[in-house]
Amino acid sequence: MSEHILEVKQISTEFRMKHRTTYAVNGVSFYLDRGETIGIVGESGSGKSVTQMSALGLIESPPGVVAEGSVLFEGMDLVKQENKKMLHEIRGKRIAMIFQDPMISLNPTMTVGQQITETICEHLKLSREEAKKRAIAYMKKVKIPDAELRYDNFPFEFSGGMCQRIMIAMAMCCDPSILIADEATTALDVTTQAQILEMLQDIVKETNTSLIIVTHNLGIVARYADRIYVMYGGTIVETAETDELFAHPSHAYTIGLLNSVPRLDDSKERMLMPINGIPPTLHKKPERCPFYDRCTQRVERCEKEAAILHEVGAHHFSSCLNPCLDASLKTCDELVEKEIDWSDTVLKVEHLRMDFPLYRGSLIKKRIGTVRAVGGVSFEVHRGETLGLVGESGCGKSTVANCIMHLLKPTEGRISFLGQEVTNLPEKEFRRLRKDIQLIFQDPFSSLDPKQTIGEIVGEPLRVHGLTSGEKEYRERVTELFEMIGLDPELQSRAPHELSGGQRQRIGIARALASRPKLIICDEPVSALDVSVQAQIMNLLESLQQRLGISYLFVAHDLSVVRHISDRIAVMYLGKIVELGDWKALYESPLHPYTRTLLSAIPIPDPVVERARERQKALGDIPSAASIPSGCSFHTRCPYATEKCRAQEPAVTVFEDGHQVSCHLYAERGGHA
Amino acid sequence: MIKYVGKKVLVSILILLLVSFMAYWIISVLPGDAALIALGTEATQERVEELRAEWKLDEPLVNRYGAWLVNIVHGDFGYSTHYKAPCLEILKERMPITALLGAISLAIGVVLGILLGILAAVKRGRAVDTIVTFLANLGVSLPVFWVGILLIYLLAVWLKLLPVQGYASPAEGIGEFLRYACLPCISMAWGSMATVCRQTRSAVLETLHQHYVKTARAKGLTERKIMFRHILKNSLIPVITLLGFQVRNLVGGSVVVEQIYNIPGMGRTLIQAVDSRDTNMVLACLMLIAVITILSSLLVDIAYGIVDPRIRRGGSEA
Amino acid sequence: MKKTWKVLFSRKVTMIAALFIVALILTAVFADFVAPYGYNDQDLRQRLAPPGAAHLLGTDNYGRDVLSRLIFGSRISLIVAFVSVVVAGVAGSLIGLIAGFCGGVVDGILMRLTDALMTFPTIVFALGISAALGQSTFNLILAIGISTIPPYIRTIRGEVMKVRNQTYIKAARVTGNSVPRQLLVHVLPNCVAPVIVTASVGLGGAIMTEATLSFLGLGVQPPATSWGIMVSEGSDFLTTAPHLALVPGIAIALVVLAFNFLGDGFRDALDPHVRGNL
Repeated sequence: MSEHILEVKQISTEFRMKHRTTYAVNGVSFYLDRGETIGIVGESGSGKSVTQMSALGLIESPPGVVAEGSVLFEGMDLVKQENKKMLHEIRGKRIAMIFQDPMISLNPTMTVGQQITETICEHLKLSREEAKKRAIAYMKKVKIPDAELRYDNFPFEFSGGMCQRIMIAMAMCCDPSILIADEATTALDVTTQAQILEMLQDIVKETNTSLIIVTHNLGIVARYADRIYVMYGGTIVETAETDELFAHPSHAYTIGLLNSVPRLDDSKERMLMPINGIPPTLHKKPERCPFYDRCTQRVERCEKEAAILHEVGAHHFSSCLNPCLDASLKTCDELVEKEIDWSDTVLKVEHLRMDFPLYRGSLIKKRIGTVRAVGGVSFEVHRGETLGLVGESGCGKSTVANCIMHLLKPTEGRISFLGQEVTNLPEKEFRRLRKDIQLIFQDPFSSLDPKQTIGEIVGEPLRVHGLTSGEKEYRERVTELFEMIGLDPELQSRAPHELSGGQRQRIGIARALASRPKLIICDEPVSALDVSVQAQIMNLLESLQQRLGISYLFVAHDLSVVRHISDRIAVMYLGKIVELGDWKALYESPLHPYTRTLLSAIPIPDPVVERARERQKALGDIPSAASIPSGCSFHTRCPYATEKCRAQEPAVTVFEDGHQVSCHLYAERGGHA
Repeated sequence: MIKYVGKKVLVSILILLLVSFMAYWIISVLPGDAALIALGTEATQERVEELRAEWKLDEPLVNRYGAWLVNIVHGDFGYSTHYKAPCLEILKERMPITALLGAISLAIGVVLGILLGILAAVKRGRAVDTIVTFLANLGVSLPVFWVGILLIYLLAVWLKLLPVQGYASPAEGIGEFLRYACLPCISMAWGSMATVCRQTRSAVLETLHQHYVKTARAKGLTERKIMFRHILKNSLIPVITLLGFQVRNLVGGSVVVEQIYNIPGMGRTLIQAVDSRDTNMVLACLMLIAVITILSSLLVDIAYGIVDPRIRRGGSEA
Repeated sequence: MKKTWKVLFSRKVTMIAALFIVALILTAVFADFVAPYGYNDQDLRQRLAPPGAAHLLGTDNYGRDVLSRLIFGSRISLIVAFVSVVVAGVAGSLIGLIAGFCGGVVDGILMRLTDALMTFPTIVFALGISAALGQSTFNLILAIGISTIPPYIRTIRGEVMKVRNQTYIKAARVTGNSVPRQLLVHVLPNCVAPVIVTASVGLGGAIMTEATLSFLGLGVQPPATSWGIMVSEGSDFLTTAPHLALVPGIAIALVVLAFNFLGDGFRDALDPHVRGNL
């Protein structure tokens, strides 16, 4: 057994608060071999991060206590280690860790150079000069441009992706044997995420470092991990080698998870199967399978017996007690044809431009530049249609949504709603139109007024627009809305904070539906939710559209989510639509190099498909919207960029099937618009 | 950084002008006819007219304010009717006493306050924390004048260790000076110490939960190094802001303490000036206090800029 | 809100502080029935008596019962504190609301004025007021009220700016709420909580300031009495009857402490982070 570099045995961690104890991790065991990459997958609250923190002794105590178990690192038990000095030497030098939010994980008042050098000096007994040299070498290794100059910069002078590179340099600078990446790329954009993960993989392979990837993203582990542990409710429910796990998932939860996650290579027939219910609160020590309450495939044994990991295949263990699980992906019986009236344009956006002036000084403002958030965007949304608007953060997609919602006044362009131009309508007149055009927000926590009950929130549009006559009709309508979104109308008097994230998002949807709008703009409606809950909301939105014939403008950064719900998709980059087309055409034959980069960056939760994929990588970081490159704005990152791309902005090329793209590569082929 | 400092200086001057106008208006216009007040009700009409003309009371407010301001800038604070001497001379004599006692109190209050605050935060939840927190709570609840009287009772009346009242300048011997200065300084420092201690404790506790502290721990630094390199520097930045307030509170405290201990400083001068309706002296004292507090908050702002790299490097603070 | 109260009183210290304050207010209101003697009843045979059975807290140099004077004195102290806090709270909240909601130039001007107001310590400010207007209880309230406005301005302004950028305000606008309705229904109710904390601590501060000013002879004028005056009068008899100065001082400290604890309790009860941990 001693060949494992790290072996965690039956570790349990509790948080002992004044009034109750949370049993966050219960008897978790895993091991890691030299040079191996393992993935620990789970949703928020599954205990995956706490497990890693416990292993390293980084649990904040009080209230956290590692109640039992052992952590053997090269044969030495870290939990029972009395020698504090030894522990400090292992941490940072032998086992390093990087965290989710790089911007706040670096000390804001120390230069990044100082912070890396600090680690080196602490562990390697080098002189200041040598330590600095080493720090710069590692900054170069993680591909920080002008490392020597940037050494003296502070964290706030870097982008999020660059900060995470610094974190990696800091973690790797003492050549650790193990690197733990705790949701290290979750806060980053997909293309940045792909760059960082590729770089991380190269570094660990080169130095033979063992890597633990802790994430909620099944695609990432499918692509990078050799073995996978699936965690739920503070326990490991299944573990196997990556190929085996995805080929033969053997725990009801793993299957449920795979069934609820949208994939980039999905067919339209595939049905997303949400996992209903909410994760356990873990205020009691679990006596049976933690997934019992939400499981659709539970058997009689599950109720009484404790679920213990048992072998179900070669190196494959699962704690599921159901011997004959159904592991197939679900498809719809028959594809319901959506009714889209292509002749009826609900929303028309023409040459929309939005500039934000950049000011300096607080008392006397001086304009020093312009941020071009949106630079000439045109599209239409038809009755009953869903148009997906996709792009990375800062591409201007939310600005477009805000302009349509009359929350921002566009610099240029026209917005027409139901045939009426609304661009310059004063707020007072537009307010009457608001009942026809609604918005669903990204964050279900901050978008509900904490001082209102959820009944009042849902009923507010009715009151504001005077849509019901009399108290009785009002109450009936609110009840109807609650039923429509699948929430018990009895809950009406609850406060928002008493609900789960998914329930709150339902309230947000009900509020948007209350005034029977023609168009709903969904601004990243699922990105703040856990994957198993995402599917619930997606399905709800889809079924509501079918019943009520609403049009959606679906704004998102995740192409796999958009694929499922959209009829047509527009891809934005730095304030422009670079490609717009039918969902099938866009996914199966993407034209613009940026669309292809974006698609390649999203990992698919299937290792076999992943290995077979062809990838296109983008170069460098996304430029800031304050200094947009000349010509085609993607040329700084495009592998096909030519002289023409640098100088001249590409025109829109439209193909016969309506697929349009702005790229010089296709200029000769289609007809000009 | 230069821009930042320049802007702060400009704003400070603006506020000083605003304050001086407010003070001038309240003190010399609001009470009514200064000449009548100075001469009393039994003065003859001609004498009043004469004085009005001499003091230029018939001119518009702005002109009078302007003339007064010009005089002040030239160091002329007017003649004190109570002390029968130019205000500047009196203040030159008394200001250093207040400044010296205030500086000592500030040093004691801030240094001890920060140290105790850190101690309580590090030993949070233990007995030391409970005791320090309780004392700090008591500290912010006890009025300065009562602490002064209590100290007089305990150390001077009861134990007879120190003199009850009075003041000896350092020129008369350091030992003598300390014997007299001891109680007033403790009375003044007590409140600042408590406030600084409470704020430091909560600032450190807040920093303890920051993500970069977790990073520092994962780097394998010892708790000592984490505390000194990462936590303290970041948590003391907000405490700096508090220093400006402390100077202001100490000025208020000095008024009370000088009265109790019979110390001939600026605070006592102000009270006597108010009692004897010595308008010029009151204004002179107020302006001096305004300069002190505004200057101290300017220094605090600049110090903040030096410590916080976001201001030092960025220059813009939007 | 129900939960806030539950959390607030789940702490013993806060509970005791609240009970103490309620008891204090009741004795002040019913002073005529509670106090054993009138506040100006002189018993010249019993001058400077130490605490004992007839006079629980002793008597002063005129033979007046200290306990009775303490109870009657609390009336003025409490009235001055409450009125000045209400004045400061209302004015400060209003200015803060305007500054926070308008932003820009209006905010800049209001904040510079606030800075100007904060230049003088409360005591010096009150000295200035009494130099200009003379010494009276009304001027005392005016001085304390005006000089304690800035904290309210800053609190409300910060809170409004925070709330104004919350998504639920955007949601309210998207739903079709008019601006006044947005302000009244959505912004205001989410801003008041911190004002309660500031006001609670401010009450303690006002009581302390009133005592200090009365002690200096600039506040309440004899024969009316307040705790500050009692300390001032008592300080002449430190050698013979120390309880005269000590007793009212302890009373001041206890009340201020109680208001501070109540303020801390409110702050924790209204802070969702702390609430989650309980």
